[in-house]
Amino acid sequence: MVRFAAALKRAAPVVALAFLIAGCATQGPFATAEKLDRRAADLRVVLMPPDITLSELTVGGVQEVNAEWTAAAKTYAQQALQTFLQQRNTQLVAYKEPENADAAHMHEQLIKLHEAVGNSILVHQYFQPLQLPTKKDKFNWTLGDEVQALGRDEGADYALFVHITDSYSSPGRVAAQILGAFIGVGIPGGVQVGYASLVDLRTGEVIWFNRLARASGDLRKPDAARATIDVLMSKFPS
Amino acid sequence: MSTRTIGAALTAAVLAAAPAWADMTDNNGPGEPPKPFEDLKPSERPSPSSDEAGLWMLADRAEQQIKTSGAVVHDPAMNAYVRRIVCKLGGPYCGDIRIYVVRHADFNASMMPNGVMTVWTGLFLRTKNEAQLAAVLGHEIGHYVRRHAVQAQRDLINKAGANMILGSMLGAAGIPAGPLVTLALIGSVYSYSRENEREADEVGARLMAGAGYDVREAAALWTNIVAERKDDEEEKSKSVFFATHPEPEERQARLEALAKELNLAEPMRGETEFRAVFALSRLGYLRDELNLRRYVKFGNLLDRLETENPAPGEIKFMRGEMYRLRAKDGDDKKALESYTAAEGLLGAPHELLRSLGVVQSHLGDKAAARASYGKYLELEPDAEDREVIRVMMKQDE
Amino acid sequence: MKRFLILAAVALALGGCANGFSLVAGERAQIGSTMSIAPGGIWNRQILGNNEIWTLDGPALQTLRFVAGAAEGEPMMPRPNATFNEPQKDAPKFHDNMTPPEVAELLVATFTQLGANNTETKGLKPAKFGADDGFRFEISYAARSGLECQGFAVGRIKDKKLYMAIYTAPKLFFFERDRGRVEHMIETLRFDT
Repeated sequence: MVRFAAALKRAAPVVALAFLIAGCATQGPFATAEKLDRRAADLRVVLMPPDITLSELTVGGVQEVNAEWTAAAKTYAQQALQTFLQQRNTQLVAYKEPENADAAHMHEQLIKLHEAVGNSILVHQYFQPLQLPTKKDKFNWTLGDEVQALGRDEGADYALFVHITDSYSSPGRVAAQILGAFIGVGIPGGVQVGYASLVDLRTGEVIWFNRLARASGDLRKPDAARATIDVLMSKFPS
Repeated sequence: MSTRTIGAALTAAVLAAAPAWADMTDNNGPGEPPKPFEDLKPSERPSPSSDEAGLWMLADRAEQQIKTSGAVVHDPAMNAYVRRIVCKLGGPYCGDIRIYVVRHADFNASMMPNGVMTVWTGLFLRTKNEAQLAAVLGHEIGHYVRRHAVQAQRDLINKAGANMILGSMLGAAGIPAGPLVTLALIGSVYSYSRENEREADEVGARLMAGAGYDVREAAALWTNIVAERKDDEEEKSKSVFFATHPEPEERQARLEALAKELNLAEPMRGETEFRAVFALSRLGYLRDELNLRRYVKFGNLLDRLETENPAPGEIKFMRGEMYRLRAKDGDDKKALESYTAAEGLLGAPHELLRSLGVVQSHLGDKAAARASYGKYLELEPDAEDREVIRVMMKQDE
Repeated sequence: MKRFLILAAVALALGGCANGFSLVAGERAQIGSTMSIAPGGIWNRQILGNNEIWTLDGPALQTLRFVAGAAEGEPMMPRPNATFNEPQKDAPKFHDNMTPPEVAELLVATFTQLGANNTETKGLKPAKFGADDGFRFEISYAARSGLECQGFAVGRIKDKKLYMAIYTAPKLFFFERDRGRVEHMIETLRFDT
């Protein structure tokens, strides 16, 4: 009994993972529109500073962050996204941090708000044990219209957020997310967390969102990065 | 003191503290004075393919999170004061060091491999004067100059995950880092050996002396820190500083000896200006400490502050608050005694009367409670909670 | 053994894809055994001991939390024992002789212990808790990420127990959007005695 319990203890993260990947996750990508609003002749999408950290699973079983890969990944991801969007007649512009302190603070808060929305989508849309009944079979998420400041400052109509990072949380924390969630939501399970989202900077609406599945993706080399980005950007509005 | 003099003193300090490191500065010609560590200059970063680069990257991310965390104190006078001390101590390294004062209870200061120094506001309650503050900052600069954190973390980057290292950097900085970041983790990832501790103490002492501070104050500081932790059972499991800085043996004795050897003719303690800088913030920092709800430790802290007597009314008032919040049997009465003793003394805030009313109400003395609330409202007619207090006064009729 | 049972329970919960939230709608909804409220629309709700968390987009984006009768010596917000390492004994406790300012202090201590930064309350004043006399105050804090949040709490101590409705949300957009709706709902709170 003791041995079995010990074995289950070790197996628990894997068990939870299996449930997460197999049964309990709804799929996505989610999109509320098939097309971008091209009323403006020159459509600009600002690429928000990509939040990417690449690590490698060592023989010892730990994730070791790799600065070189991370730097390369950011460059290749940016290039691949540029290409992807150019092929769809959309211009991708880099994010410029504002000089003015108040504007910088507002941008910071908007980025943190997006993080909260993105995490909420992962926890309460994708992850069935914690899915909100009101979100079932629907996708309606927004950051609110204060994003217009971002649009004005960056001269962009949409903002593209890319978040690829390793994140670990024991399965036991899953149920506890709710209690502390009003203070800061965490990600359940033991999966690599990756997602991309497109926000309409006129309304704040998240009009497209896709989660990166664990198995896919190698951003360390240009060709593989392009393939990864193609998968990440599936069903992106044209 | 000119930068050159500081630089020379710093170099001397660094070299004297650890002769084994002398060969690290051997990149100069014969007869030339040894230079400080070249690899600590701001323009120099580890090469991207090195494992050290990963650590710097994490430290940079940690710095970004610290900046936007909302916990950083932006008070210009306070920051300028701390910066001046760091520059007096650290000379040529002054430009490399970015200081963040973080609003956080308890005693801690830390430095990251990339030159970020974080100082918790709780530290300012434990340092009696500028010299004692310099002792802690000098100690941290000692760790930084000797690259102790890099050594420790370089070993651990193979054992702990990146998120754990980042989390422990943030934890040591006083920024919440998520439920996985426990004290044990911070301690294991971000810790110094006893040998490193001795080295940092010695470098710190030399920097202090070089800047004109009384090194005996470093010994006095640690004596006070030890006294505060006495009888506090939770201290081992909760102190970030002592999880990351194990106590070397005979620290006080060694520092006393160094003081004898190093102190200049009229070493400075710097009490007046120190008190002035922190006078208005102290009550708020004491509240932060009380919010930790570690009553034994808080009581010890108050005991020491009472002997220093900067504002006796403030200290006695906080003792009353301690009893009121602890709320064990008999505590309401103890709180009453403390508040009564504080009334009229320097530093006793008007909110004392409101707290006095609350405990009088708990003790059943409704008339006294009403009188206390009434006095509070007279002194604070625009108090935010005045309507609630009036309702409470009616209820106590 | 305990750990094994906990893990087994979690595994079962995950395996069955048991849902943590349920829908609440209709004319009136029961909260705990003593209160009821008019939901004024559809909400998602999660029950944790004597607390209920109602949300539309997830607790990080808005939380309407009901404290349905915390008694002497109990914390304002209970923790699920199976999943938190910190024992209950550390949580700040309610005492039945508390005055409204002390309840505000209790909330600050509770939020702080859960990891909120710079939690402050202000504007404490008498207010209606449903149809009964109570108090209210405003709240501001920053989430762990640094996201600035705002809120307000309405409360009442009745029969030596603490009852509260606490609404918190990010300051940007979310707090104001549903504030009016939540204020209306709180007006409809009733004790079923």
